[in-house]
Amino acid sequence: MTHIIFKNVLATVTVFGVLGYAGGASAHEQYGALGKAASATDYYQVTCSDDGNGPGDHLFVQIKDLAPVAKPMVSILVVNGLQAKNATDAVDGNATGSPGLNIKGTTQTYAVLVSKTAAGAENYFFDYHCLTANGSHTGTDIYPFQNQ
Amino acid sequence: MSGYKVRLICLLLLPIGAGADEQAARVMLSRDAATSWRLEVRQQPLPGVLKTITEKTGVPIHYSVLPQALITATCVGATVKQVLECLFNKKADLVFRYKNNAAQNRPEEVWVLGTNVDVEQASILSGAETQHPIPDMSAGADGTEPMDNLLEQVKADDPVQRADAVARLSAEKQSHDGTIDSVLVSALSDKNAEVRAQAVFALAKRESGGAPAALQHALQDSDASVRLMAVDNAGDNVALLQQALNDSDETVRAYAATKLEKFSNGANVQ
Repeated sequence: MTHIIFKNVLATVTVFGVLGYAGGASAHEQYGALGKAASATDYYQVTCSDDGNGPGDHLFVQIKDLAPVAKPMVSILVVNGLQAKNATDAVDGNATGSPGLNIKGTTQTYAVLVSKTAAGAENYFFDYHCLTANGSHTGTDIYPFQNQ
Repeated sequence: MSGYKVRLICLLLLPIGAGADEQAARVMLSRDAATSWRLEVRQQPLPGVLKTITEKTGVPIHYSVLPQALITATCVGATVKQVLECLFNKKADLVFRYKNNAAQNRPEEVWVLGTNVDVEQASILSGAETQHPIPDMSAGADGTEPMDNLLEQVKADDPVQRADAVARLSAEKQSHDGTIDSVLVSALSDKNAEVRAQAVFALAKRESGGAPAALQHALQDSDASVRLMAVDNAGDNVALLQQALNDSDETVRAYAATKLEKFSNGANVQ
């Protein structure tokens, strides 16, 4: 079984996370677009921190495939340590998105990848929120590492 | 699978009783229906692995520059050539010289040209034989690719390699700004659309002084993916987004409209 290790990559993007990303969204909504290649993948790092509400316990994400309606479906994959979860928005351009994902991290750094199921450009956005153990929102930062 | 004799001949590269760190590289020759080489490497530098292969196979391997990062790989092949191709995983050009009229099972010598190791593809295959190992490379303390490698890779014939190098240049340190920005601006005119798109992304991400002009230029690109990348990296450039509303591609128009709608609603949209 292939075991993907993001250790070194996450170490890299942690530096950028500390430095901050100009234009970062304060509403914890990330808009993006995937190019026409079937393999196009966008890759972000989300870092949780204690903003006074407590340390991050888990990350919640939910992705929505935006108009125009097209063949590919958009998926989001979250990796933290040795665990990974995935969700897909099965219907393009409607009011609802994918099922929400909660992933309880062993570290404060999450790899978030957005991909699609076929060739053809796709627009998307996803919500991302670091939450404490009791469900309170806490410090959440995002940095784009790969944009395809 | 039944009814055959398997003779396993293990040639350990290191003396018995070597420490854990030294036990990583070994070449094992197993004989089934055919003779095969098995190379297992754990956290060893590539130059050392090649030296070991030479010592055990008698095949000289020539190279000028190799990544110093530690690798982890498992390779199985009927010939030394297959093992080396597996080890480098298409990240280097290999040249093999054989004796005239000889069966090409064992080269006389090998040259390794232009390695480009991709730390992004770091992965480990645990306990399974494979013809295609996935090296686990640690490129450096901060995980960035050596810039010289990237500046060479930007000129590669393969557009996938060029696009990959352009994307990675976005993460290079500020001290290299002049050279990198110049290379990225040149990449805006690459014949491959994905390379051009990655140049747009890299310039925007680096907040280069040339980024606004690059975005504007990209919005006129013949390929919709490049124009989409311009919209994706437009930030708060409302004028550019409004321009994109007239794009010929529906996806570009829709994305620009979405971003503008969020601006008008007061949200901060990336």
